[in-house]
Amino acid sequence: MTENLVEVEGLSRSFGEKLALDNLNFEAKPGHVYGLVGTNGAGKTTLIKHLLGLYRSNSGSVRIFGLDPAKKPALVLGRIGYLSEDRELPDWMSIEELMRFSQAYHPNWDNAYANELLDTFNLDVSKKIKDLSKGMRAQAGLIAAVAHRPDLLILDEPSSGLDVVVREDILNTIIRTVSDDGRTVIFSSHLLEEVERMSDYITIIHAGRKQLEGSVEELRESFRHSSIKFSEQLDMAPILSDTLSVEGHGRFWQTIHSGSVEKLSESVRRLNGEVLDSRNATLQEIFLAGVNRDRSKLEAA
Amino acid sequence: MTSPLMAMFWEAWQLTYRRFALRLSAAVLSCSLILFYMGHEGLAIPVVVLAAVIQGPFPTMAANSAEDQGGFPFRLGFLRPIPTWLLVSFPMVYFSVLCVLSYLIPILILALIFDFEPPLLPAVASIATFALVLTAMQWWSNSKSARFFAWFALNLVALAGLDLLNQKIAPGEDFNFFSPTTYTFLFLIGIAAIGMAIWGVESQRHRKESTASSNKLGVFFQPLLEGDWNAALSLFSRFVGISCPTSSPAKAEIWRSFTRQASAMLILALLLAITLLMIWSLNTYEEFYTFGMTTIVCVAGLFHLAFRDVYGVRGKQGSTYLSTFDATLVIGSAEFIGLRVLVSVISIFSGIFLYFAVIWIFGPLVSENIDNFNQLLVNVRPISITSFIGWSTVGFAQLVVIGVCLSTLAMFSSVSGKSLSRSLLIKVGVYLLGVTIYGLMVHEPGRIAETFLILMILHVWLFITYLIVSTLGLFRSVLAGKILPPTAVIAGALLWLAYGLLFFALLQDMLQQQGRALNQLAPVIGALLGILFLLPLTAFLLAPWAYDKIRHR
Repeated sequence: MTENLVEVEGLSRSFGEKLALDNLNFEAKPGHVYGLVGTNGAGKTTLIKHLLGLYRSNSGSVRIFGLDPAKKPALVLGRIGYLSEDRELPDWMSIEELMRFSQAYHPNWDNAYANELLDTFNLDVSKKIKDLSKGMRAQAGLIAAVAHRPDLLILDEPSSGLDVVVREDILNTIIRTVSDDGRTVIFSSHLLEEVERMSDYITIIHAGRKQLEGSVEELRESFRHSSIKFSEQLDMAPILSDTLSVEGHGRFWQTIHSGSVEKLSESVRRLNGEVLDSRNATLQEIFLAGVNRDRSKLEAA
Repeated sequence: MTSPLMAMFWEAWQLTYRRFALRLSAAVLSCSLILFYMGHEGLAIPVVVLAAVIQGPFPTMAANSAEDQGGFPFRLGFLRPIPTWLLVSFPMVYFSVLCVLSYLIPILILALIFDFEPPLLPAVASIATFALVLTAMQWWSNSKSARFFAWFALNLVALAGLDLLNQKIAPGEDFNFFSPTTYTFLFLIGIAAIGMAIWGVESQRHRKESTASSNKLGVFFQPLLEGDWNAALSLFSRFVGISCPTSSPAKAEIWRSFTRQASAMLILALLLAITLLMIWSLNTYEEFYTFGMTTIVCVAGLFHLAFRDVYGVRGKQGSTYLSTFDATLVIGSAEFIGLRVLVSVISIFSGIFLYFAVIWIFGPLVSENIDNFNQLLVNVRPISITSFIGWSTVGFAQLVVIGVCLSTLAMFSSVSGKSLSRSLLIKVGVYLLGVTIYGLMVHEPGRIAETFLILMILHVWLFITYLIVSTLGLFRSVLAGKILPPTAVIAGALLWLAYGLLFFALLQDMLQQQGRALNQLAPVIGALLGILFLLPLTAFLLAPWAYDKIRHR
């Protein structure tokens, strides 16, 4: 069994009245790309800040490389590369100064790799950070985060606000390369297509809770999108087994459900209906179904 | 709201009226208290208090600025369909009126209660002009360096102008009487200030080349004028050829702290030294007085620069702000704090050294008479070299400790934000109000003073107890959280003990020379001296503890 690089158990954190994370579990093994998906305010950044040791949990535990990042920041951060959503970098430094400054903190800094990436991104090292465009800033920050070849790369919304070219640079050049080297990447995004394409494992977070988790294939195979037709008009959504969501009106309804089509058909037949068609659900459908289910629960409460 | 002007007035009023009212109440209350105890002899003190109150609207403006860019604070106004002259001149006039009212209302109330004649028209004209000039200097450029140089130039012009005014234009004028020439002069300055601000903001509004980055001042000063103090540093780094060391985090952090702080301090020290030399060369002021004042400004300025934002934690729009870049650096909190404080201390030393070196070398060239230095040496009580070194060490240590404590408190206040300062203000206000009401009710000045003294002493004891308990609690937290490594704890404790021994030995020596002993001191005085001994330990524990709390929230 491979040892987990990241282990989060029963993590809860609130800010005043607001519960940002609610008994969340998460783990990551070496050599894979983990995508964190969720709506704005779902708790992705809060989880990432716990992984970096920037937040202390109210309850539960966070272990990175077997250590508590809030208690041993230097040991943990030395093996992590991190790029924040807002790409906070010291504006007054030039790119060259940023590289040298970052190198000082990482004894295993790979200068050749850093230069190669600087060439790939075509960055002028004499430029000040404050004079860079948003994309160039992200690229500079990314080089500073990966050039020491970290065991764990954490990217918080790496493609937020970037054009297609820079986004592809980050996603393809970095994330895949890093993971192919046997290192681990955790990145958050609310762009489902991007996460689906890049990740080996996906964790969907909503309202501070883990909603779904698994490999992309597992998630796709374990949920199906089925269309149902009933013999009579229904005023409210039918109660069917193993459904994540049921939407529609009158005689025609769609459902995202786990379990087999046969099991659903049986459940539908009892209500004088039939399953018209069924296919694997897309990640977006699964995600939206989960979010809507939570919303309905909240409204009912 | 029927017009842009009304909308602007409503916006400005909403942004300022709470603080304005609070400041007015505080001013009236504190001045009443002072006058009640001191009578007409204390009339000068309310003037100082009001001078502080008058400046109130300015931080208010800055605090309400949506962006941390400097220059014109109401940048959203750039999108409004109004001309720049209106966008700029209205708030300038508004704040100027607010400043005038900040003076007029309290002084008139006080004059009514305590029956004295306050200076009115000259004061109003001066305050209004002062407010306009101050606003213009803040708004005309978004470059800190450009603003700094403009201030520098303005101070020199003001100095020369005042000199001229004193000597030639209006002999016999004082703050109760200005001649029409002076009013005209002040009026023209005010108009010029508004014009300058409109011109500067027009450039900012249309994103023209920064008003500061004019080529007129030459290539050498351009980096200083393009950005802020950092530009000055990059000039310094480029000049000296220092690049960031890559061999260790500590060296890189020292490089960064120096790059961020040292040049600013060196430039300030240099500018103040040059100012002093220029004033001497004018030969219109007493050298000794000017030297003393400029030195105080220099040390205070360097101190402020060294310990301002020393930990990189600051309040930003009501919440604490520590950049994730800093927070995720591969360095322990204690080491980070230690390095930052070390660099601040060395920077202060460098700045002061440069200041004195420039004066020492160039002073005799510009001044014919520097006998006052010799006078100073004669007047100073002869002290032994060991005493001098000892007290200098202790004094400097205390200065650093105060700096660390203030920076740490600033860090705390940026965490607690408005609630901390507000609750503190309310407590002090209630306390002052209570004492005032009690005083007014009892109406026996002798008894009030006695009660006041008892309360003061009680507060000192409370503060001492609080500090001791807090220090013990901190010590426990730091050890339990392993915030400081054991070697640092031992080294710190030894340093503290050495400091304590030096401190008490010097104290004993000083008291002996006065024919007294430590145990003869009043208990409260003894306890306060004990606090001076305890403070370094508190600061030593508080800074890394607080930073750790903010870094790992």
